[in-house]
Amino acid sequence: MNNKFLLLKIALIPTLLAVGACSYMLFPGPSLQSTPTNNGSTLHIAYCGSTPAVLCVISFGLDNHARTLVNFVTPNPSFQDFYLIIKRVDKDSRYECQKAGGFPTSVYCIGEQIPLGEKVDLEVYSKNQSLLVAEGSLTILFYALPTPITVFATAIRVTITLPSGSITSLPPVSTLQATQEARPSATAPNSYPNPYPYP
Amino acid sequence: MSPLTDGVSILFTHANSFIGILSALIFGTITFSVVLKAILADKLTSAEYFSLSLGGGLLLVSLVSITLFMFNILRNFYIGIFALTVIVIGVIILSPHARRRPALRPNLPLLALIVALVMFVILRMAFISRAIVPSYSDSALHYGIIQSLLKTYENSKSIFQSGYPVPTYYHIGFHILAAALAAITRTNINEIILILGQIILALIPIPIFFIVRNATKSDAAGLFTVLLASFGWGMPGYAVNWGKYPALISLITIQFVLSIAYILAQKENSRSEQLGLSSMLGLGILVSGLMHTRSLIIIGIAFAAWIIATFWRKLSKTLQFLTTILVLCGIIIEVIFIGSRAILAPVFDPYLHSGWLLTSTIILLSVFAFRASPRLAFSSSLAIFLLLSSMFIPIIGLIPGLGPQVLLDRPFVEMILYLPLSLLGGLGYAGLKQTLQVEHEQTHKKSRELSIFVFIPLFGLILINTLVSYNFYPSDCCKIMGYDDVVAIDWLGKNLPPHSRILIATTKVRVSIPDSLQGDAGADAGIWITPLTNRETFGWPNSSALNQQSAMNVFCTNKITYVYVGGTNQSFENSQLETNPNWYQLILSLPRARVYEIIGCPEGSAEYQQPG
Repeated sequence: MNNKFLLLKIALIPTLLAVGACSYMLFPGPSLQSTPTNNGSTLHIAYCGSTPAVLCVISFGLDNHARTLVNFVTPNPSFQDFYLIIKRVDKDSRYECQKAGGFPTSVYCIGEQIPLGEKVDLEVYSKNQSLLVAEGSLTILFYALPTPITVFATAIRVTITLPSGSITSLPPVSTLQATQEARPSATAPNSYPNPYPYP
Repeated sequence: MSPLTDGVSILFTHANSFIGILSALIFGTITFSVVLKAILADKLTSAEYFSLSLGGGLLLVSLVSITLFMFNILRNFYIGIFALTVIVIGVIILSPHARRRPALRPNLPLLALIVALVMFVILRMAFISRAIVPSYSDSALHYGIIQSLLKTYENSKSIFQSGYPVPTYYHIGFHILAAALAAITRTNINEIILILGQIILALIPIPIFFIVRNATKSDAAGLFTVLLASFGWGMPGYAVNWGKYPALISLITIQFVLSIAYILAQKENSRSEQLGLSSMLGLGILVSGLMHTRSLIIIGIAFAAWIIATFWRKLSKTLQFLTTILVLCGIIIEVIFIGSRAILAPVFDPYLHSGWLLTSTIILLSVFAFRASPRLAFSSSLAIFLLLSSMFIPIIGLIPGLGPQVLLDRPFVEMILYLPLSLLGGLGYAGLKQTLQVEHEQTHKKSRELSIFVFIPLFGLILINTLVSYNFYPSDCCKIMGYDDVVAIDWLGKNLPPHSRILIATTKVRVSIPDSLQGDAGADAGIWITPLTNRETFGWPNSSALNQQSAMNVFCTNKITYVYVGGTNQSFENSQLETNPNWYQLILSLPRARVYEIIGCPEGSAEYQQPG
C-alpha cells in the first residue's frame, strides 16, 4: 500500500510538469488572428459604457498635425488587427490602426481630422482579409470630459529639497529642485487613500 | 456581469500566464508538502498539511526564483534542467519518509479548503477585468524594477553583475519572483503583476487555517477563520488598489513563519523534527525579509507577543485577568488617540466603517477565544496593541534616501490588522462551541440546534457581508491610468525624440507622520511614461503653478521639453497651460490626457519627431 502511494507521489510531479507544459503549448497566449464577431455577423460600434463591449470607442483626440485619433477598446486581447474607414457626407477616409504597445486591448487609429460635433459612420475591416468586422455611427465628442480640479482658497509655500540632477531611468521620477512661492491648485489627499476620505 | 463570470472570463483570456503561475505554485506546494511530511509524518491532518504547504510552496518557488535569477541559471537551459532534476530527485529521496495516514473517510475539511481556494482565485480575477494596469503609482515602480531585472536576465548576467535597480527600494523578492515568472511564461510585465497579485490575494487566507485548526482541533473554526481572513473586511484585499504587492506576498510568508514557529514551540518535537523545522523557519524569515523588509518587524512583534504570553500563562488567574484588561484598555486608548489624528485615522476604516458588524462580532467572540486557546488569544490581543504602537516609533536615517519613517507605516498596519482579528474570531468560534457543548451536555439539547442557531449564522454573516459590501473590482481612488493615457503614452513613445525630458505631476507621500513628508509619488499616469517608453520624466508638485515665470525658469534650466497632463483630479491644471500659448503648445489632446511642448525657453530647444 505504502509503495503504491510512493509511486503515485513520484509520478505526480512529472505528470504535473507535463500537464503544465502541455497547457502552456495549448494556450500559447493571445493570437492576433482570431475574429470575435457575433456569430459571423458584424459588431456594432458605440461609445464605451461602464463595461466595454466587444469593440467600442472610448474617445476621440487630436494630434499635432491636426489629425484625428480614434481610441478603441476591446476587452478581448486577441482581437484581430484592423483598419478603420470613416464615411462622411463628402468622402470616405482610411485610418490606420495600431495596438498600444503592451496593451492589446487598446487600439487607436489616426487619420484625417473630423470637425467637433460631426456625425460619422465608422467601419472596421480586418487587416488580413479586408472583411467588415464592425460598424456604427457616432458623433465626435472629444472635449466632453474636462479634468476635475479642486481649488484651495489660500496659498502655501512649496519647497522641494530632493537632490537635483539625479536623472536616472529608475525610479521613474527625478524631482526638480526649486524653492518657489506657488499658488496651489489641486488637493493633496492622504497618500494610500481609502475609499472613505477620498472623493 | 458578476465577479464570478468576470473572473472565469479572465482565466480564459489570460490562460497563458495563469497556467504558468499556477503550475509553478502547484509544483512548489507538492514538493514542499513531501518535505514537510517527511519531517512531521502523521502529526498533522491533510487539511493542515495543505494549508501549511501552500505558504511553503510559495516560499519554495520564491527561493528557487531568487537563486536561479541571482546566478542567471534560467537563461542556461542545461543548468536549469540540472537544477530541476536535483529538486525532483530530492523529493523522491524524501518521499519514502513522507508516510501518509490511510484515508478512512472522505476528507471534508481538505475538500472545503480546496473548493474555497478555487472560488477565491476565480473571484479575485474579476479585479483584472476592469484594470488597465496595476493600480496606483507604486505599481509603476514595481514595473520598472521587474523590467530592469528582465533586462539583466536577457543580457545573460547575474543580478550581482548589474547595478541595483533602485537605490532606495529594497523589497526585491516580489520583483525577482515576478521577473522569473514573466521570463518563463513570456508574458508582459503588467499581466504578470496583475495575475500574480490576484493569485496571492486568493492564497493569503488559506495558511491561517493551520494555526487555528492546530490550536483548537476544530476544522469548522479553521474554516471560519479562512472565511474571515478572505472577505471579513476590505483588507487585505483592498491593498492591491495601492499596488502593495510586496507587502501582500509577505503576508503569506509571515503566516508560514508563524505557523512553523508555532509547531516548533510545541514541546513534543524530536531532535530531527526540530532541525528540519528550524531550517524551514530560517529560510522562511529570510524569504519574508526579501519580500518585504517590514515583515521582519511583524514577525518580531508576533514572537514578542508569544513570549510575553508564555510568561502571562504562568501568572495567577487574577493577574492574568488584570493584565488582559490592561492590554484591552491600551488598545482602546490607542484607538481613541489614533482616531483623532487625521493622517493615522484611516487605519481603522476597513474595520470600523464597512466592517463594523464583523469587528463587533469578533469583539464578542474574543471572550470565548480565551477559553479555546488562552495563550494564542492573549498574544493576538497583544499583537494588535503592539502593531498600533509601532506606528509611533520613529526610524530616522536608517534607510538612506527616504524621508522620516516609522517602524510600521499606516497602510501596512491597516492591511495586517485583519490577521490577529481573524485569529481571535476563529479561536472565539472554537471557544463558543466548547462552551455551548458543555451546556448541551448539561441540558441534553441536540447539537444540531446549536449549529442552526449559532454557527451557521456566523458563517452566513460573513457571506452576506461579502455579497452586500465587498468590492472585487478596482477602486476609483487609485486608478491613475485610463485608456486615454494608454494611447497618449504610446503616441508619445513613438513620436517624441528619445532624449525628451518630460514634466509629470507628483504628490507628496504622507502616510504616517503628521507634518512630515515621506517622499514623492506620481499623481497621474505620467508616472508610467519612463517604464513604458524609456523617456526621462521629472516630478513637479501638482499643487504648483505652471504659469509663473519662476516655474518656467526651472524648466528651461533643466531642459524640460514636454509636459504630460493625465486625467486624475491630481494632474496639472490644463487651464494654466492653455492660457499661456507662448510657453506651452498642445501637441496631443484627448479628453483625459494631454501632451504639451514647452516652447517658452529662449533656445526653443524642444523638438518632436515628425511621425513616419
